[in-house]
Amino acid sequence: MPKPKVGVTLRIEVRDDKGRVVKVIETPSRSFTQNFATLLVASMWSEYSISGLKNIYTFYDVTGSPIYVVGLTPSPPSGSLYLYDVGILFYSEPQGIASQYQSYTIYMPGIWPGSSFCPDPKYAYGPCSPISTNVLSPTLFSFPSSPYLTASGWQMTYSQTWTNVTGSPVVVSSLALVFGMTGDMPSPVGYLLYAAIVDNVTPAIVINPKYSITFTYTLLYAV
Amino acid sequence: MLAAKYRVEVRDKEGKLVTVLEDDSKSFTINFINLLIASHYNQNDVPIFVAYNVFGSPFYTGTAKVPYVGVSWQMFNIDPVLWYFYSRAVPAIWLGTSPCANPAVANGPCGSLVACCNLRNFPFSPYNVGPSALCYGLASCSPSFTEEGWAITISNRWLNMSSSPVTIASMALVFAVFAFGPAETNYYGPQLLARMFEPFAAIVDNLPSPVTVWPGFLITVSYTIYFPV
Repeated sequence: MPKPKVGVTLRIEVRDDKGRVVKVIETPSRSFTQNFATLLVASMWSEYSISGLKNIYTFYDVTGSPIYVVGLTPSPPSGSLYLYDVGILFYSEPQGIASQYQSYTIYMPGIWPGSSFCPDPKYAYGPCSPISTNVLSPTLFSFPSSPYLTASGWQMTYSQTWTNVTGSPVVVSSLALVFGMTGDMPSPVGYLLYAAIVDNVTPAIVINPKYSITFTYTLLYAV
Repeated sequence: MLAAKYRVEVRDKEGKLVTVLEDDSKSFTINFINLLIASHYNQNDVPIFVAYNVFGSPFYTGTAKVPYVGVSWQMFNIDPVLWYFYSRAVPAIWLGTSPCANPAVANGPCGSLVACCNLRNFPFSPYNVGPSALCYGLASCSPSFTEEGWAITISNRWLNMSSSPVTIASMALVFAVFAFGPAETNYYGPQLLARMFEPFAAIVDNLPSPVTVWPGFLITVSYTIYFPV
C-alpha cells in the first residue's frame, strides 16, 4: 500500500536585530504525541460510554501531570485531576487557561521552545526544558481563521515568534505545538495545556540577544 | 496533519471475501475544516461558518445564527449511546449509491443513502455494532503506534438485509456535533433552545469502481487516520 500523503511541515526562521533573515530551516515534522492521539480517541466517546467501556484514558499536560478521563463513574487516583469526557482539543487562545499554568514557564497555547533535546518526542509532554518567557518573549500565537484549500489539501498554519530579550545567547533544541483542551469537569478548571506535536531541532539553534525565531507548522488535510 | 486510508471488504453469505478495495482517502470536507477551525476559539470570538449536516441542512459555528454549535464541542463524536438517544442513526461510515462530483464539498455520501441507520427503510443494517463489542465494534479504543505513525481505525459492518443487490459508489466518515435550535414559545412562554443532533461528514470518498453488495452479503468499511511520527 502506498504511503499516505502526510503534510506536516515545520519552518524555522531566525532574524537578527535588524529584522534580516539569517537562517531558515524547513523540514517535515516528525512527532505527533501519544497524548494527542489518546485525547482524540477519548473525544470520540461521551461520558456515558467512557463509563460503560470501563476505560480510563490517561494523558499528561505540559507539566507532566497526569489527567484522567473517566466517564460518569469516576474512580481516578485520589487527589488527581479528572474529566468526565473530552470536548475541545485545539483551543488556541490565551483566555480561560487553567490557573495552575499561571506560574508555569509558559502559560498559553502556542509553539513553545525548549533548550534540551527530547529523548523521544512522541512521548514528550512539551518541549524539553521549556524556555521562560522572560528569556524568549513571545508574540501572539497565530492560528487558522478560515479554510484555505491548496493543491495539496486544506492547509492549516500555526505560527509564533520569540525574541531573545536577555543579554546572552539562547539555545533552542526542541519545540512543541501546544493547545488547550477541556471537557466536562466536576468543577470549573479552565483549559488544560498539552502538546500535540513535539519536534527536536537538529542541530540546535543559537538565538543571539535581540534576535528572533519564528516557528511555523503547516498542517495539510488531504483532498 | 491528517492522512487517512480507507478499506472496503465485501463477503458473501458464507463469509468468503469477494471484494477488497484499499487506497488513500482523498477528501477531508470543508464542513469538517470549518468546524475544526471554530474549535480553536472561545464562545465569544469564534468565527461564524456555515456547515451542513449529512442531509444538507445548514448549521452554524458561533452563536449569532441558529441552529448553532458554538465552538464545535466533541466534534469527533461516534458514540452509539448518544446517537441512539438522539436519533436512529448509527455512527460512523455511511454509504451512498453514486459518486460525488466533488467529495471535498459533499455533505455526505452521494446518490441514495443506503447505510446510515437502524431503520427498516434502508437496505443495510449495522452488523456487529453493540455494547458487548470492544468499543462497540466501531473503533480502536486506543491509538496504535505503527510504521506510519499513530493510527486510529474506525469501521462499520453493514449487512444487506434487502432482497436486491445494492451498488455502493461513495462513502463518508460521519461524526456528530450538538447544535441548539431556534427558541420556541409555547403556552408556558419562551422555552430553552432545542438541542439538535447534527451528523456531518468529515471525510468523503468515491470508490475507484462501484461495488455491488448482494442480498445477505456483508460490507466492512474502514478508515484509518494516521498522525505522522
